[in-house]
Amino acid sequence: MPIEKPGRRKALTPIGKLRSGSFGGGHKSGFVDLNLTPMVDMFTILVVFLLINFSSTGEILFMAKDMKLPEAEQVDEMNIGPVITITPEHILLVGKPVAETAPLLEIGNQEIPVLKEKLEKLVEQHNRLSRKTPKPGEPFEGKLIIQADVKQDFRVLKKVIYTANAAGWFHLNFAVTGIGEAAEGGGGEAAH
Amino acid sequence: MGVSLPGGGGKGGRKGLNVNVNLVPFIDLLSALISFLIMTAVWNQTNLIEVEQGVNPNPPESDKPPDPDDKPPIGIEIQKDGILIGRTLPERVQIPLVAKGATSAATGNPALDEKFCTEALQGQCYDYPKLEELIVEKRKEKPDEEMIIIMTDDGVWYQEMIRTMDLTRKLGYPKTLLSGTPE
Repeated sequence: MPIEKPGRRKALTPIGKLRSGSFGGGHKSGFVDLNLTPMVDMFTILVVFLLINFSSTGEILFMAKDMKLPEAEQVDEMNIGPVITITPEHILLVGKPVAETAPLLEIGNQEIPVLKEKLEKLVEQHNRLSRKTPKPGEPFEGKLIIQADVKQDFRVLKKVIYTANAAGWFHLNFAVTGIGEAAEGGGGEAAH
Repeated sequence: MGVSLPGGGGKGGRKGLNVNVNLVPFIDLLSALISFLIMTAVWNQTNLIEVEQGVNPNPPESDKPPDPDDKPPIGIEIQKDGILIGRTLPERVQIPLVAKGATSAATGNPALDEKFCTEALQGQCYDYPKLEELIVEKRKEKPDEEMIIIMTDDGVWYQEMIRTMDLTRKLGYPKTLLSGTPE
């Protein structure tokens, strides 16, 4: 760029141009420049926020109405498995009622017969699908998810756990609402 | 997609310094990404606490005789009127309930969180800071210990079991054996 001697300069915007501009008179142009910068900023923030909340496991647990799960910090990631839901009215296995909750609050048998039968069928189904013949005494590898309200009496849970164990399910997962860093990171950071 | 340079392409003349970046494809991409992420978003943070219940029916055979000095695992019993902790029955210590608004019995008396007080306890709260202190103390006897037993009484809320399990996992016990009281 050549070096010029300092001197008088023309006004930056000629008066004529100002008059024909968007604030002045004259013909208005049919094209309008839309300022896209704030919109792109907003989109970028939205994408970042959604990516942070993105669940990579893809597992979703459907919750019963009015059910509040207990909160926990040391949690593991969601995984696949049959879900037992304990509501104040019913015990549901994969969304289908298998027993009523109220009779289980009374002192009595530890096992829930219908639940046990269905869980045993699931074990058979699992072994058939995985084409695996279990060896005698070999523990079943399937994982069961138990979902219950915070206020649920442990007496009912005890019977559900006992029945699950009797049917061969030893890997139990309790559904909780994750709080803290481990939960935000998708779990798997529990104390080991 | 590209960058248009006004005044560019011709011979001679000054090139404008303003460069108009074509934002349309960028906005298209962002819109598609936002739509996908909103559709696949999971808003409730549901996680799991894994418990391996039961004892392996075929334990690995070992030639070593059991160590008589080997201490049994810590047992925690959540009762309606407090928490019991100890490795053996005579060793058990009771942590009584604390009135709402009072401080914990733990050293340093940390303020008791209101979430430890539930309707079932009728204005009283479980003293979890004291429980934590006792677990830490007992862990010193067996630092490599991984297993802990949690026994919950009938009538106790499910959340107390989860809270205790969460605490023990935080203190380095990844394995939990759950148990209930006989009827």
